[in-house]
Amino acid sequence: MDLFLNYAQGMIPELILISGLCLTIIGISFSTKSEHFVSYSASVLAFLAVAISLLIGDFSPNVNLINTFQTSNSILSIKFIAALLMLVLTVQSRFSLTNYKHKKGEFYLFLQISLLGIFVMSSSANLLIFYLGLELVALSLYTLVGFDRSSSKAAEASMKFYVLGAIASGFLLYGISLVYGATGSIVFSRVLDMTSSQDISMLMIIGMMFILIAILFKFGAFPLFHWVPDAYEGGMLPVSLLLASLSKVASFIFFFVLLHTVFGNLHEYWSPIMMTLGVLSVIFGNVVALKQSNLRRLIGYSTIGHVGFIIVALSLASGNGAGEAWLYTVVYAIMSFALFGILISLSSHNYDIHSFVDLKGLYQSSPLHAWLILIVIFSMAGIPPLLGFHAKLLILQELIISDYLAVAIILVIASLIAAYYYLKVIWFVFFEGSNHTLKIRQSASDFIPILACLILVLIGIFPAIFIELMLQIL
Amino acid sequence: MFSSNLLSSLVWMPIGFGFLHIIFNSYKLSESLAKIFSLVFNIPLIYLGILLYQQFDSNNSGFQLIERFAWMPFLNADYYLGVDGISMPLILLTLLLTPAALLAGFNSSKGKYSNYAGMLFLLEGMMIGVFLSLDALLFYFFWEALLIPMFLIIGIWGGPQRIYATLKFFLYTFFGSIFMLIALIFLYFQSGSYAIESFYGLPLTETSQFWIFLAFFIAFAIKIPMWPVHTWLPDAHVEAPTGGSVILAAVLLKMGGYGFLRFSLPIVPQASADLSMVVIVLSLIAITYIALVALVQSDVKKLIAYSSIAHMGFVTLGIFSIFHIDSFDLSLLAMQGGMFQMISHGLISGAMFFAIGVLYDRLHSRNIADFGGIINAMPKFAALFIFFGFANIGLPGTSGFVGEFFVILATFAVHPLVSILAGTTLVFGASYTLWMIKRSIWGEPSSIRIENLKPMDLRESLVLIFLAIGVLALGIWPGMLTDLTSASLTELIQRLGL
Repeated sequence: MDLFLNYAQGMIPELILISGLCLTIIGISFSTKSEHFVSYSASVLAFLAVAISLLIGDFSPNVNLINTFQTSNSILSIKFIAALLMLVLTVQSRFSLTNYKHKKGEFYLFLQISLLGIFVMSSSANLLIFYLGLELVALSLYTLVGFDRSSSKAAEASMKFYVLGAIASGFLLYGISLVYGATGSIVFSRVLDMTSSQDISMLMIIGMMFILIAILFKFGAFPLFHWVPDAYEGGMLPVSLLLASLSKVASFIFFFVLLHTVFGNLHEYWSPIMMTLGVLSVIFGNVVALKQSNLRRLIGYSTIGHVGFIIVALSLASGNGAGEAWLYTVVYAIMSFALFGILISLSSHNYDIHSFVDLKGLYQSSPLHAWLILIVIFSMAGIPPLLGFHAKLLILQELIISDYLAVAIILVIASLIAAYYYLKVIWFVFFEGSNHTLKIRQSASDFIPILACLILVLIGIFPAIFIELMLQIL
Repeated sequence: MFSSNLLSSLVWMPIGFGFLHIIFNSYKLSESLAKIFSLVFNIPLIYLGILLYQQFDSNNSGFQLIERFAWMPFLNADYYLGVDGISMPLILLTLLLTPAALLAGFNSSKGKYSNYAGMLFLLEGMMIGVFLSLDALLFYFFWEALLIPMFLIIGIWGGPQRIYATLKFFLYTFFGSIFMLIALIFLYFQSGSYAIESFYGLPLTETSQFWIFLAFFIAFAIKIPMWPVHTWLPDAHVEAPTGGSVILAAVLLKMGGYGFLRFSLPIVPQASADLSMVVIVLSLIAITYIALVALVQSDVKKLIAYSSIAHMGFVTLGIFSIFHIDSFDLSLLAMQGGMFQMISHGLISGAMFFAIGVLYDRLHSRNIADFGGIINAMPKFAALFIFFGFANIGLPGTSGFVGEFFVILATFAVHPLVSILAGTTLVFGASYTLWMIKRSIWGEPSSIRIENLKPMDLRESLVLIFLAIGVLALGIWPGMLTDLTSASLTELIQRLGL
């Protein structure tokens, strides 16, 4: 019994989340009139409780429950950041959902499920538990992309995402079974031991390659990116935000847990492949984004470019490549919160932005939003003194120190290409006038974008503490 | 009060004023109040400039008034400011020209003066930051960050083709600086610190010297700008509002020359020496060919923009000819010439663009053909304009003469041909400037509108007279500037082992 309690203690955050889930389901079923409010507050409370439990909870770090569940300090920190991001996402989602006509309680339910999935992924100690967590995230994402049932675009995006995602999951499962065939175990530590010897079976390598395919799909990296622009365009704004922030955190965990810990010894096999595909993602995402006229498709393609940076950094064996990739992921999440937060706030004022033309005259109708967009966009383009610059700088520096000078040069040239379409956004916001004289007042929905932009500026100028903290996590 | 952190105040005070102005704008402060504020804010800045001038010891060749503390410990990057003889005059230039740019925007800021002033103050702080940073990463920070306000100044307040011009400006300079970033990271990797001094005297192989030089050269050559990467400048100048043009010509271009002196020469002396002939040839092309291009311009702003490129050719010519001069005194003279040309061109071109702005506010044209006979309506303006025209030609007694004369004299030691080609500026410069003056100022009024031109008001005359005094003072007493710079330039030449 004592042993069980000891284990249960390590799972407190997950247990809180599961209880929150049950409560939300009951709440939604019994209150048909105020289901939005009930579901929203239950989720906020659950995320708050999880974050607090992770912050103050005193549970012995290195739990390992019969090779299924493990925790460590870095896992706890990752979970804390994920819970925090999810909390902010929930708060901002509400402003978008109030305008949504149909039943909306389930939205927050799926957010909770996906967070649970992220927790399970990061704490898993064997391949099948990991797969379970991954599917929790993926299934809630498929549903959320198609959540807006009045929109045919959402249905199309969700369908594409689901079918392709199912194929990717198939690849992952097949890869896992091959690895099991080669090593006779699905436990991380066993697989790691088996790969430390000199003779590595071909079966093992092929299994790993199948898993690589699934990772690239989840990241939406080249060449498995086709769902990305559709999902960004079709889904509701909070869903796009989820895809840009927490889904990237999940993908990061996917890559880090499998390739760095489980297949860490096979580095020489996966690293060149991932590095090449990361560079290709950066080039492809940024070049294709040049021709987009729909803003959300453009953000989708630019995400492919950003993901390329993360993958390139993760592919570095030497130095602190993973730490820098983690920093980039978090910074990208903050930038997404700012950018989509602004779009959510504007759309709650009935100012929906689809193409560039819709941005015209924003500087006149709402200077605040225009300045916020300026900050985010320059941060995404990697212009100092904004935080996005530091994330890029550290990766470039790691590349040059690890003797990948050519890769660094390709990445900066791709940043130059990216600068063009980012500047195009600024140009439409600031330099183009429009005829309509809509005045947008500030409202509560501006709080999170303002906060995110302040973080981008202030931490950009005083980066020391934040960046050291992020680098220490891994 | 500011004695302990004078340099930080010089950087951050304008930036703070900039943000204040942007906040003013969102609270709908009236235009005239914003104008008064923007001028009042300049008083403490000028005061800081005077303090800096007093505390600066021109006999000391090293960095002075140093402020240093850890900024990004995990990168060994410090917040590290210091001033020496090379940066000192450029800071004074920035402090003097920003009020001129502010005053230029009084009637041409499309009802958004507060934001305009905010952008200029941000720009001022960042430009001073570029000149004061002794940490390469901090330098890069300011160098890149100031693209943002300049991008907005041209894009919001510019002419009809402003979007094309500002995108071209941004992408061109961004293109240059990303390679510089790679070079800086590479140097950091070699030295273990981002302090610029730690880059000096690194034992670099010949190939890496070559590539580092090339990376720096792309960045600085685009900024200064040199032929053939100058094409962004005429567009940016033509479309920028008057104040933007003033700052662009007077200070922003000098960052390129400053970069050569602070980075290229001391960090990669061997590659600089090896490739100096290439730079000299490119400078001579700028001086001769671009001057001929200026001759055929019909747009007066474009004409001055091309003349700027030709004049900046003297800066690079002076700096890089030292590798081919045996005598130390002549090397120093060439360096001094390049340095002097930067400051003098800052004053003269700033004044020229301001004067063109005065005309543009009245006639809404920059076409030389639309002018003509202005002297009849605006005699005071005509006198000042002609004075600056002469300074642009390099007439003795004006500051334009000194820099060019130093460089022409010193380059005689390189090869007489270089000196002769550089000397053609006196012919070509006189041709395009005088011809432009003849067509725009002299003669009978070409139209009713010119007859009815309003004479200059107090604001406009004050700026132009003030700048004219500066041009004259430097021309008559060049020692005022050369004394400031000589110790640091001497040390630089000695470091190069020449």
